[in-house]
Amino acid sequence: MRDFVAHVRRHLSRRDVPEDRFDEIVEELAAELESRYTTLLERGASDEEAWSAAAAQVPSWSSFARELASATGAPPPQKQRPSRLRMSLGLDRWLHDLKLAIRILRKDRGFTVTALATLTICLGGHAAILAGVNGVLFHPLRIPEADRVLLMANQYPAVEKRWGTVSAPPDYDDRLRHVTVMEEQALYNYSGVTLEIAGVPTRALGIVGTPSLLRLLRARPAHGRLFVDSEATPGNEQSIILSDRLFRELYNGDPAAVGRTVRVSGRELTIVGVLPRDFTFGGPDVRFWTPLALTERQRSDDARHSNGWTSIGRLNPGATIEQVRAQLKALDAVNLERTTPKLKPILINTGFYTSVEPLADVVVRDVQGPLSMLWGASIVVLVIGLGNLGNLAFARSRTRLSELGTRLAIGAGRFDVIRQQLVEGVLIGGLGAGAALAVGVSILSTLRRRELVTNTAIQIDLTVVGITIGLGIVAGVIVGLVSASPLFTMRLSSILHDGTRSRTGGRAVRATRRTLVVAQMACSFMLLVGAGLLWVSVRNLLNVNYGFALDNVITAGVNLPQPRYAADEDARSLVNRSLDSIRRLPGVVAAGATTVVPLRGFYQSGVIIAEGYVPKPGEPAVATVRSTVTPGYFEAAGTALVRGRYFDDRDTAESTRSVIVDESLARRFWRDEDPIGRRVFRPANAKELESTGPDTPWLTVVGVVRDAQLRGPLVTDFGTNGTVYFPYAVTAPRDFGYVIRTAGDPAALVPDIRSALSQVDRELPLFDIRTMSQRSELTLLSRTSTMQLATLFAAVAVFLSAIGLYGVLAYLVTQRSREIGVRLAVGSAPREIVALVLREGLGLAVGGVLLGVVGALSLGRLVASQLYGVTPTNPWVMVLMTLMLAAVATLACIVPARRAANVDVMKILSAP
Amino acid sequence: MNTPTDEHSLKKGTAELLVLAQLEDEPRHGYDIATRIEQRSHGAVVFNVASLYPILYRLEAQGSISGWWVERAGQRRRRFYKLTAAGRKKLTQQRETWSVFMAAVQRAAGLEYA
Repeated sequence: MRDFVAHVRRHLSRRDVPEDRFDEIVEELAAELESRYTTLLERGASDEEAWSAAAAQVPSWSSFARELASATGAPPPQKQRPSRLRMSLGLDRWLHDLKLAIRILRKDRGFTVTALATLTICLGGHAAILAGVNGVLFHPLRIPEADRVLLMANQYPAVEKRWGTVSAPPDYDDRLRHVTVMEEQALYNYSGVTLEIAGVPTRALGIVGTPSLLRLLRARPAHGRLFVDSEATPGNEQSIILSDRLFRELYNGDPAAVGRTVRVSGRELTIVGVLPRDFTFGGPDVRFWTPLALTERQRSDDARHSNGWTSIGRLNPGATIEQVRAQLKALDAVNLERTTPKLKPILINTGFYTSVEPLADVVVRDVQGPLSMLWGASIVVLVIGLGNLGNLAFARSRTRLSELGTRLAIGAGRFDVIRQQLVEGVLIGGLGAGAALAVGVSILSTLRRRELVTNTAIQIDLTVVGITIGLGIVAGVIVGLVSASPLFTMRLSSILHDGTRSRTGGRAVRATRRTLVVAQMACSFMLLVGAGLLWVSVRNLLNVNYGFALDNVITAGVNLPQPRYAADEDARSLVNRSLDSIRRLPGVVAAGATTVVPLRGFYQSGVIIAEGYVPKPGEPAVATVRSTVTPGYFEAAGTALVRGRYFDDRDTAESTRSVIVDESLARRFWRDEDPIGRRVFRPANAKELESTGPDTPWLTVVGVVRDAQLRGPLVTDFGTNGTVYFPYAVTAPRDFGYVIRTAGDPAALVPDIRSALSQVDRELPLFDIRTMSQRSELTLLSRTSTMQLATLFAAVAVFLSAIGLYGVLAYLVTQRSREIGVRLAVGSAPREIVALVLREGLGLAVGGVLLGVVGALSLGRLVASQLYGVTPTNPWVMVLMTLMLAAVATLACIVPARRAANVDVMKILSAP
Repeated sequence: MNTPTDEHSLKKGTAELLVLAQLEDEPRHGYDIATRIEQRSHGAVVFNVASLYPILYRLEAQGSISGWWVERAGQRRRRFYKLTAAGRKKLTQQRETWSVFMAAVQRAAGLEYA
C-alpha cells in the first residue's frame, strides 16, 4: 500500500495553506489520490502504473501550491524573499531612512550647503595638517621597530648650550665593547661627492657608514646585497650601494647595474647593491651608501672628541634605554680615568658625558614645535566649526517642529524619528568628510608642486582617512542628536501643537548657545593673538643685522675631487686662478672663497686657546665657529672691519700665521684691550689641547671684524663665543664655497661665473648656487610658512565665529520679534532696537575677548619657543587683535540688528 | 481544431459552473465531482486534482459550497461538498450568463446549432 499522506506532506508546505487547515487538506488530497490509485488497480493496472497516474494528478506542486494559497487565502509563497541578511539587521529600515534623509537634505538646501561647507573647510584643513603630523612626527624613521634605535652623543653642557648629536670615531669601538645590550651599532656621516648624472657633473649626497648600519636599519636590498665587513677595511673601500633614486637616474632601473662601476669624485666604485624605493633613511636626497673604513689614527685616542659622526645602536629585544645609559656612564668613567692628568680637568670642566635617546626624538625635534602648534590651531578651528554646526542644527530643529510633529502624529515612533535624524546627520558628516579628504589631497598636491613639502611620508594615508571619516561621523551624530533634541526635551503635546511658537527652548538652552558663541570667540581670539605674535617674530627676524650683506651677493659650492687635487698646492692654485678669473668679470665687485658660506648650514667648530688667557677655575674651553677664507672674502660678504686688516697677499702662503677674529671673541679674550698682535692657538686634537708652550705654533691676530650670524639668527648655542677666521692657504680645504659681490642683479651673473670657472677646470661642477637673499629666505622658510598657515587658520576661525555670532543673533531676533514689535509700537525708536541687538552681540564678543585674553596669557608659554624678539604676553598684539575681533563682531551684528529695527510691527502684533 | 490554450481558457471560464452543477442534485466528494464531469462531457473535459481542488476551495471560501467530513466504517474519511443557498443562486446566474453568451457567440461567429 502506498502512503499518499506522506507523499502529499512531502510536497506541500505548511506555508501554502492556512495553518489550521493544513492537516485536513493533506488528508483530503491524499484520499483523493488514493481513490484514483485504487480505481486504476481495480481496472487492472499495475502498481507502478497506478501510482504514476495518481501522482500525475498534480503535475506541478509549485503551481498547485500557488493556486491553493490564493484559493484558501494564505499569502502566496514569495518568489523573491527580501534577503535574510537585510531583514535580520533591520537594514530595510535604515535604507528607508537614508533615502528619506537624502530627499530632505536636498530640499533643505541652505542648511545642507552651509553644513557641508563648514565641515569641508574644517575637516579638510585638519586632514592636511594631520597628514603632516602623521608622516613627520609619528613615523619619522621608516624602519622596522624604529623606537628601538637609539642615538648616542657626546655632550659638553658647560660649553655648548645646545644638545649635541655627534660623536668621535674612537667612541665607536668603545661602545661596541661596553654597551652590550645593543644587538647592533653603527657609525655614519653624510658625504658629498661629485658624480656624473646624464653627463652633467653633479653634487650628490650620500651616507658613509660602517657595514653594520644597513643591517641595523634592517634594510633589504632590492637588487644585489648589503655591505660585508671586509669591505670596510682602509684601502678596500671600493663598493657602493645605490638608492632607488640614483638607480633610476643612472641605469633606468636595469638590474644589470649590479656589478658595474661608477665614477664617484674621481674614484671608480663597484655597485654591489640597490636599495628599494621605500627605504628613505637619511632623507630623500641620499643617493648612495658607501662603507666607512676607520683608519688607525681615527680610532686612536688622538681622535677623541673630534666629533662629527653619528653613532646609533639598536637595542636587544627586551633591553631598555636605562641599561644603555648605565653602561655609557660606566664607559665615561673608565675613559676619564684613562685621560692624561693635564686633560682631565679640562674635560671635567666641559661637563662631558655621553647621552642616549631615541633617534626618532632627535629627528623630529626641530619640526615638532611648529607642527604641533599648527595641529592645535586646526583642531581649534574644527571645534569652532562643530559649534556652528550644533547651533545650526539646533535652529533647524526648532523650525522643523511642525514637520516632526506631523511624523509623530501619523504613527512614527519617537525612536524612529530620532534614528532618522541620526541618519541625516551621519550622511552630512560622511559627505563632509569625503569632501574634506578631497580638499586635503588637493592642498597637499599644490604644496608639493610648489616644493613647499618634500617629505614623501606626508600623505593622506589610511590613518588620516580613517580619522577624518571618524570625525565626520562624530560630527554627524552630534548634528543628528541636536536636530532630534526636541524629541528628548519637549513634551509630545507641545511638539504636536505647532511648536514654532514655543519659547526658544528655555533658559538652559539659551545659555548654552550663548556660552558656545563666547567660547568660539575666545578661541578665535587666541588664534589671532598667536598668528599676530608669529607675524611680529618673522618681521623681527627679517630685520636682524646679519653682519654680512644680503643684497647683491651670490654664493656657490665647490668640491675638489681627491685624485686631481691630491696636493694642497693644486688646490691653492685652483682657488687663486678661479678667483682671478671671476674677479675679471664685468659686474663683479669682489670675490672670495670660504669654508663656511653664510647661511648655507655647514660650519665647523673648534676650541681656541688664547695666549696668556687664564681661564677661571671651572671655566670650560672656548669653542667657536671656525671658518677658512681667502683674501677678498670679507669684502665680498660685506663683513665690516673694525680693527687691523683683512687677509691679503701676505696670507697666500702656507706659512702664514695670521688669523682674524670677530668682536665677540675679541671681547671674550681681551676685553677692551687691542687684540691686534695677540696670539691664539687652535689645537688639532685633544693632545694638543693639554699642553701649550714655546713650541706651540701660535697664530697672530691681524684683524677684527664685526660679528656675523653665519649660521643664521636662530641658533643660540655657542654663537656668543664668536668666530675665528683662518687663511685658506694654510690648510687648503677641498670643500668650500665662493662668495661673490656684484654690482647689479647677482643671479644674472651666474652663467658668466660658471664659464669663468670651467675655463680654469672644465670638470668642476658648481652646485647649490643661490643669492644671499635667497638663502636668508630659505633659512626663515619654516618660520614664514608656519606664520602664514597660522594666519590662515586664525582667519578661518574668526570667520566661523562671526557666522556663529550672526546665527545666534538672527535666531534671537526671530524669537523675540513679538517683544520687539511691542517695543516699537509703544514708541521706541528703531535706533534703540539696533542698539539692543548690538549690545547683545557685542556683549558676547567682549565676553569672548576677555576669556580669550585669559586663555592667551595662560597658554602663551606653549608658543614661546616659536617666537623671536617678542614675548607671548605682548600687550600691543593683544590690543590690536581685540580691535580686529570687535570690528568683525560688529559686522556680524549689523544685519540682525537692522532686521530687528525693520520688523513689521503690524504683522507681528496681529499674528495669532 | 481547438488548440490546448483555447481549451484551457474556456475551461477556466466554465470551471466554477461545471463544479457547481455537479452538486445540484446531491452532495459529492472531489473524486466524484471530477468523475461525473468527465463522464457527462464524454471525456472532453477532464479535471485533475491540481485543477479541481483550487476551485473547490475557492468556492468554499466564497460561501457557494460548504464542505464537511464524513466517516464511514472501515473506510478512510472523505470530505463531501454541498451547494449553499448562495451557491444555488450563483449556479443559476452562471447558467444564464453562459447561455446568453454562447448564443451571442453563435450568432456573431456564424455557428450553426448542432
